[in-house]
Amino acid sequence: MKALGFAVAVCVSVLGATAFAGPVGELRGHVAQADAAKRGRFAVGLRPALESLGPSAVPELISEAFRAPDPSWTESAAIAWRVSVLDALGTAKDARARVVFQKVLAETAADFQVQRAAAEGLAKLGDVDSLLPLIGRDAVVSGLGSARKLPAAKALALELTKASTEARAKLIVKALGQIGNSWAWATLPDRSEELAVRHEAAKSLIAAFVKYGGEVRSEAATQLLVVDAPNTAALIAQAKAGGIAVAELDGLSRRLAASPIR
Amino acid sequence: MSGPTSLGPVTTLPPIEDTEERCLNAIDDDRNGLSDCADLKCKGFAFCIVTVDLRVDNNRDGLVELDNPADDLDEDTWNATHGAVFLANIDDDQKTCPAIVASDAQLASCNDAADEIVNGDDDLLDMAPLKVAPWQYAPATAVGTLHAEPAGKVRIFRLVQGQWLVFNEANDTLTADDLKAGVELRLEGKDIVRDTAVWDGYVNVKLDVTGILEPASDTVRMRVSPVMLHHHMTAPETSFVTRVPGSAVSTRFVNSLIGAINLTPEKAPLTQVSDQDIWTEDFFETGYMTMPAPGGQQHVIRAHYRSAGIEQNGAFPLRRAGQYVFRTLRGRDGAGIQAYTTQQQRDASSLNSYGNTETIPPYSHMGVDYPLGRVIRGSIPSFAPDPVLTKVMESQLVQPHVYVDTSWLVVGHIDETVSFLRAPNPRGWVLLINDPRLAKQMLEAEVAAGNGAVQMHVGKQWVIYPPVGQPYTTPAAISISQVLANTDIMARSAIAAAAIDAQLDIIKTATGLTEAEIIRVPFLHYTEYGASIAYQPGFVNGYVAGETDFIAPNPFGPMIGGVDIFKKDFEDKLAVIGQHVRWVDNWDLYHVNLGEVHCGTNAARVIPAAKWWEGGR
Repeated sequence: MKALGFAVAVCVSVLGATAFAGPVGELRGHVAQADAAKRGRFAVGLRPALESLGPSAVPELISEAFRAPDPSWTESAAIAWRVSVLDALGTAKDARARVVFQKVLAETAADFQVQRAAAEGLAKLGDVDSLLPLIGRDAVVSGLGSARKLPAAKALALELTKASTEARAKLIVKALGQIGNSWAWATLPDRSEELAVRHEAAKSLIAAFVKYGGEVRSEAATQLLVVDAPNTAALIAQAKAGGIAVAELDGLSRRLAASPIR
Repeated sequence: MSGPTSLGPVTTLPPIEDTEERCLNAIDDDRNGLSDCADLKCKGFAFCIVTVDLRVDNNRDGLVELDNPADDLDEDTWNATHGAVFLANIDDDQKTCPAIVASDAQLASCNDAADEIVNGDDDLLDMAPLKVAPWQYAPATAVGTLHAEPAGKVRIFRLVQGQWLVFNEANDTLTADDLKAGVELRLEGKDIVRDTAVWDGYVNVKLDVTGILEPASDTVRMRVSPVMLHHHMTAPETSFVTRVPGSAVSTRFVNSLIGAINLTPEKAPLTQVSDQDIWTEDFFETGYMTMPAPGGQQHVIRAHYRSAGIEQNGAFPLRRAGQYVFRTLRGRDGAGIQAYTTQQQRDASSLNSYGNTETIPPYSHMGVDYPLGRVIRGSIPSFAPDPVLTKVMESQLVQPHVYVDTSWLVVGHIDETVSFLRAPNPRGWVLLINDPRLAKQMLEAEVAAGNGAVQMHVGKQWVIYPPVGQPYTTPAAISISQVLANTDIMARSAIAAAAIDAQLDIIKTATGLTEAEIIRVPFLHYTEYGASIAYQPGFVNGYVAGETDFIAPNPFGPMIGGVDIFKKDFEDKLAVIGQHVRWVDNWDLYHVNLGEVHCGTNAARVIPAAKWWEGGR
């Protein structure tokens, strides 16, 4: 960690804007072009390109996270680059990046995607403790779904009960689906909390399905399929006993019976 | 009573107006205050029959026939069996619209309906014919007027001494001589329907004749053609693709596309759009308007929507490449349509690309016919395309819209997950739909077979491709096992699978599709900016290049025993329905930029035989 801190300091204070002259820096030189050809809000292709550089690129990625954007870039180019750098760092799951994510999250005015990428990076490192105090922020909720830890699932479940708007509820529902994502869990080396997390997620998602209509209900249905918790059928039966949204719950049962992910 | 011997005066009775001679002498013969046809005693003569008859192509045979009662019967109503049709005359037959304009609004404002002249013979063909039937014995005092209601929606032209002149409804009249000779008229729509709450597309044209004994009138009801979108049941007449000037990768793609199109029986001519915007599917949508023509034909104006995507502030806020609609496609029987608001959801701006507008082919379900199919778009309240454009498209009525959720996709287009192909089944078509689960299962089967180390995407690169110059590349090759172990790919693919299931649920409910009518297209997803995009080239997102040819992006493996398992799966499935897959490499230009073949192509297709006016909407 000390060595890394030194490297970053060198990059920022000595090398300034040039930073590392490695592959990340080379890719940085193409950001404006990628932005000009973007489809939608942000330039594409940066993230997979950065991720393909592998673990050896982490120090350079860390320096890039703090490097000022090129003055010639558009705002969208600057955001795209920073998000892609943070996403690639998150994928690397390298503990050296923890301080990067934390510092980025301290920038409360940063773009939603920037904060989301930082929160996701911390979540992938399992640093739930850093994120939970910030759970009131939508970007943190979006990132927290990658934590796949029971305390995170419980925190999201609690937040769902407190959601003051449907937009906030939908965001949490998505995060619950992400945290309980059954295909994601199957790739993880440590699956000790898998069933507990998926159960917790499914329980909250059923509650959201019953409580809300419209987009929140639709999203809850989708995420219930994603979580695919073994106890979902029982949870639906239990919810039907409440007598609310019974027909919709029956429809959900039919979709679960023909699950698109099993 | 007098007899032969009577010496009283001889009484002569006044003449009665009951003969042709007395009914045409302009004398009040019987001195009852009424002369000639004004006198009821003349009523039975042909020349006293009031003929106030405005004729249109009420029976939709492309002709206005004075001797055909079908062009007169119930002409003041409009339904699936009768009623005249007109076109929004918004093409530019003589290609006179200016190239230099000061704003997007001005660019769109020019068309043949914007002036008060007939712009040549082609322009005349775009107008609906009307006739005032001759009234041979119209009295000299008779005066005719014409009015269209609601006001301002159409313009009427009148043939005067071989010239078509605008008929000013407020001031112009038809004289007795006009009424005697009959009058040839043409009617042009000034615009399409943009909001049915404002105008439903109908006009009532009324001929009033005054200056006769009892004022008389005749009303015809007409309806403007909707703008219809193409579905995949007809082949392209013209294909479109962007060629980026000076770009080798663009040229390679165009050349490969030409090769694939040349393998189709139709060999639809390929128009190359010279632009930096490679998303040819997105910046315009082809459509058409029709009205009856002689011989059971349809007279067509192709009408093209410009993308409502906002790129910037100022006088030209819209996606620049969309100007193609006006600068190139507007012309003889070609029109452009522009509609947008600057108040649209900017984060959802991508939904205004027409990769997010497809058409479910014709079908019937639950006793309801959709002879022109239905438009399907990605839209939910919190993530929706431009509301003004949506209002315009919905107001066309004849292809009722179906909406699904595409908000989970980073690009957000319906064509990323769904397509439709002609098939020899009772419905006539099948649905192609992405199935990440199938992709996962196929890859897992290869791992189980000991092929986990086999690589996918061999030789391909993640590329940042500048329009000109050297690209930045990193290898994309990855083993099957690595893909299946990638948390992000798996997580995102599961979300995609469930979200696509929700789309399918809506489509099934709308159409009644059964599993036998669905072809599952296997590919996985990964994440960009917290949302989903095809990880492998998404080969549902292909170009329907003919009635039996689907141009799809090469998925690039894995190759097992020399066979690409995804290619084989797809080719086998499409062979069952008589379709050929024509693979092209769109990795560098489109896939790495979050699109596929379909996103880079477009088509003006053969006009379907189904006539919108018979559809009951």
